[in-house]
Amino acid sequence: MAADERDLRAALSAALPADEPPVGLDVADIMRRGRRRYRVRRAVPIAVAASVAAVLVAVPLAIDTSEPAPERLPIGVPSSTTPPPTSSNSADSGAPFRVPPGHHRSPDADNLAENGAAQLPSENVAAHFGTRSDVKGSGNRFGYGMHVLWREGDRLGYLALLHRTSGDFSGSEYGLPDDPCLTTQTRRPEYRCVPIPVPAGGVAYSFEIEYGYRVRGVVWDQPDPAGGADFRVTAAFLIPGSFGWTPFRALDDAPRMTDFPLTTEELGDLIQLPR
Amino acid sequence: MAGASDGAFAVYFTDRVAALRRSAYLLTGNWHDAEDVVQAAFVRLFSVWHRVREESADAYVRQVLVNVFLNTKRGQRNREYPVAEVPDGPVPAADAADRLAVSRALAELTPSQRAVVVLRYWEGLSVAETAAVLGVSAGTVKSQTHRAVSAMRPHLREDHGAS
Repeated sequence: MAADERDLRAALSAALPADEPPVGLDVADIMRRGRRRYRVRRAVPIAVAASVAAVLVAVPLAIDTSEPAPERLPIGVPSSTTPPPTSSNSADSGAPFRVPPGHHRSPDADNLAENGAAQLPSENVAAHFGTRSDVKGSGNRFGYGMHVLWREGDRLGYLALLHRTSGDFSGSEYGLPDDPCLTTQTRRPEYRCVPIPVPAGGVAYSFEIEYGYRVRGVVWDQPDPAGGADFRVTAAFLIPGSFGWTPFRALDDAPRMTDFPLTTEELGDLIQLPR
Repeated sequence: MAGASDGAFAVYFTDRVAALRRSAYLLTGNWHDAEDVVQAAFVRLFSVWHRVREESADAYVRQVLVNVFLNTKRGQRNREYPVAEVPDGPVPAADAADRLAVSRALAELTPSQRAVVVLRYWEGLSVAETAAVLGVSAGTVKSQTHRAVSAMRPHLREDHGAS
């Protein structure tokens, strides 16, 4: 194969004409077109995006409830506290976005979701949105989440990023277990926890869970710079089981999520947003 | 969406446009379509430039380039293209034969196979990187590579003289 590689490289090089014409592209024109594209994409009527999102949300949720989950592994948490998402726990079946109870749309989280969407297979991103919880628990704590829905061919992807996944901000609201891998109680074999390095500090684990559908993600504790409780941030891809385990391109070369398309600075901005 | 980032984009464009256009030429088979594809890729890159980290710009623009090519090529296999200028005289025989053989071999591949060949052997991407660009599994890249190389090998050995 090495000889083939050298031959092909040489052959492709030979396929390029020696008399290459000068580049006829104008960077100013490209930037003008890019700005127009940027404005148009931002100005897409919300109603259109919302209707697409409603379909995308409804399809996997409906399938999750209608199909048996023969490969579903015991997760060691009572199912009543960590159910897979169903159409019944959708906050409002008539709403365009699946906002968990106690949450509301957040412009800041929307911006973060847009950032995440820009780094996914962007041409197929159907909707992205962010939510923020009402204050819960002691210490005026709040929860935060961003979601991206996208389509690749006949497959649907769902990327969620959550700040806090336990206690008053249960991950079960999003179809995730509470703090997978972060404690001895939740570091269960069926979660397939693997520690991963975090340049910014803290402790992180990748996890992979069968919930009837496959969930693969990263969870980590990030010390609160202001003191108090640590932050628990989870990033996860949720893949509807009905489509089988066919990795999305974002996962193809990452057997486990050891990287995330958002910087730790952006995550820091997310979780330190003033109320 | 304006200001200093425009300058950075212009620098990036200047640095990368020629190389990307060569890749696009290998995909499309002519300079005209190659420039169209490259322009579309840079327009999309600029529309998200403020969010794309510089180190990921290459991967992004390469991915858009290939996607634009694949989208425009579906159903257009083996099209003939008009050329703006016909060469005045013969080009050197060896070069012409090489180019003709490789061009013919590339043209006989499916667009997806051509994309795999260009990404793997021209851009030098790994199987995993190629899979990420194309949005397919590593196994698909390997099988496409095998088919493409098998299809091209007779042309290359007969006409190009590769061993």
